[in-house]
Amino acid sequence: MNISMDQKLTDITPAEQSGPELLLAEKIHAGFPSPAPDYTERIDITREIVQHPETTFYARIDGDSMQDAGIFSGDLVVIDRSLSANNGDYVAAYIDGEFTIKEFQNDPKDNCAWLIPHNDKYPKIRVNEENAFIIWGVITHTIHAIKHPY
Amino acid sequence: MYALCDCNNFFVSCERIFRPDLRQKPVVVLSGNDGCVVARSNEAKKLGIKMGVPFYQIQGEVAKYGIVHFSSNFALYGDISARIMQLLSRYTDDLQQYSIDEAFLDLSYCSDVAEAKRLCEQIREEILKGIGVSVSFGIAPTKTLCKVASHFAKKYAGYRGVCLIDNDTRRRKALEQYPIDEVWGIGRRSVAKLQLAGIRTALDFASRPAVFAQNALHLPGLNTWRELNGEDCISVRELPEKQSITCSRTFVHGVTDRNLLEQAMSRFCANVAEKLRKQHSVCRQMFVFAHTSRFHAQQVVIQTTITFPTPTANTQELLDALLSTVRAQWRPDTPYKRAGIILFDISSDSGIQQSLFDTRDRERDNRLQRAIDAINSKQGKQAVGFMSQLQSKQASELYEVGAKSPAYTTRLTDIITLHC
Repeated sequence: MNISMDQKLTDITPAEQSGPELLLAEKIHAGFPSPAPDYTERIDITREIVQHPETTFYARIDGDSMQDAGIFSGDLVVIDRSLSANNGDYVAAYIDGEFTIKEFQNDPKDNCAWLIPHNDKYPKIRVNEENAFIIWGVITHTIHAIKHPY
Repeated sequence: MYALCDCNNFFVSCERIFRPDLRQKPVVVLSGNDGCVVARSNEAKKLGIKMGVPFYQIQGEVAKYGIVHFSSNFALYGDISARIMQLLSRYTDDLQQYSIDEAFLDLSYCSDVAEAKRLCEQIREEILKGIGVSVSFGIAPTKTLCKVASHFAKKYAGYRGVCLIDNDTRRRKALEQYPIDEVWGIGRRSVAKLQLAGIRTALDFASRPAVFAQNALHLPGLNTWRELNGEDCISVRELPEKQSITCSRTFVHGVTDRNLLEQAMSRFCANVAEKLRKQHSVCRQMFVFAHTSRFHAQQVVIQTTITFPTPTANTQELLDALLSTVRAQWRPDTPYKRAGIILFDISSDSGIQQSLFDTRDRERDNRLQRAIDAINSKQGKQAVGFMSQLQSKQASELYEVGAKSPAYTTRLTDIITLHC
């Protein structure tokens, strides 16, 4: 018992065997503040994705009308309501009693706007004043899980 | 110069963010679980629905006009409020939040009132678009006048949400139309006194000499008088503390089990005590009650007012008093339908007069309490507490309700769905 403990002790003290040079070097460093505290913050993915925390909301996708744009049923999307929709943006829109996600195209000449799906199975949706239509927010990211770790 | 940012029909506005179909429809939000109206949309106000009215009394209107009702969803309202406050704090170094839906911005850095007005209009747009809540601004040299201005900003659409009291003509015109009983910081008893002296409007009061205000209402009243006359002298920290703090619930089914009742009430108790400490107050009295249903053959009640010789905000001390009350008055085979706790006789926690016969080690109690509060503020509501707060699954099901909206912004399983 005693012998094995002694062995363990020697096993875990390799510093003594590595020579005086290393020990000296460590002593010099000990006088300086450790640089570690400046680098302890881990990457925070939310901070990269969420530019405006006050106006950012999340939603879940249900359906396949955007699958050719790489947005699938079950995906999580990040919506920033502070942004204004430009042509080509993907938007969370509220139309005739339902939230949906589509590409937005404004058509001022025709006095309407288009909500464009990305799946040939679905037609484009024309919206004008007669629809109960709101652009609720602009999609900034989609999060698609490849494998659930649980 | 200050601006008061005040959310319009706040709880209703929060619900409408995720229910655009409810715009232009009459909507009410009901209190915790006892079913009184605590927020109304403008449409509901126009139908004559009064603040505080019990829901069962407006069943006729609800059916006739299709009024939509929600139970309070504080997870949602709290988060939306935090977003608004965070957004506001970008525009001032000194944001003083007054309530869940009101805050003062110190705008003394603006070079003139025109700039302040433009800024508030811009913030208003940002909150409306980015968060989806409509707010009003009252801009004035004092906080009391801001409150008056924000009232007019809401009342007249012509202001488009931003009303300014920046010169004496405007000040007098506004105060002339402002009833004295709505002036901030003037309590009910003071109103009665002032009305006896022939004062009807805020202007009547502000036009009297200072010595009148001082004699009639003492220092707080004098400060209000000064503020109405444009002299900045009240800070948010001095604003009146809440007079009472309540937590009560109606149980879905009558509770006959003593342990369950104790658990539920212990949680109410921890909840009100925490609110009390948050506003740096202590209470001298606690009202504890539990009733059977109104329809139960024999009304059985647990009901006591407990007076503490030394004012306290300590959960453990309140719990001791609560539990001994429940244990002494509880009757077997009785379905308790509604229970609650009200703290009152509330004062500031500075300079507590200790009772001569006080047997508690208050210093030690306070240290424990601070540790518990610190953990709970990090880990969530009542993560740590006293044994009797322990919540069994059974107890958590006591007061589930149907009409509450999802926690859209605070729980991942509750976020909205985009159909596509």
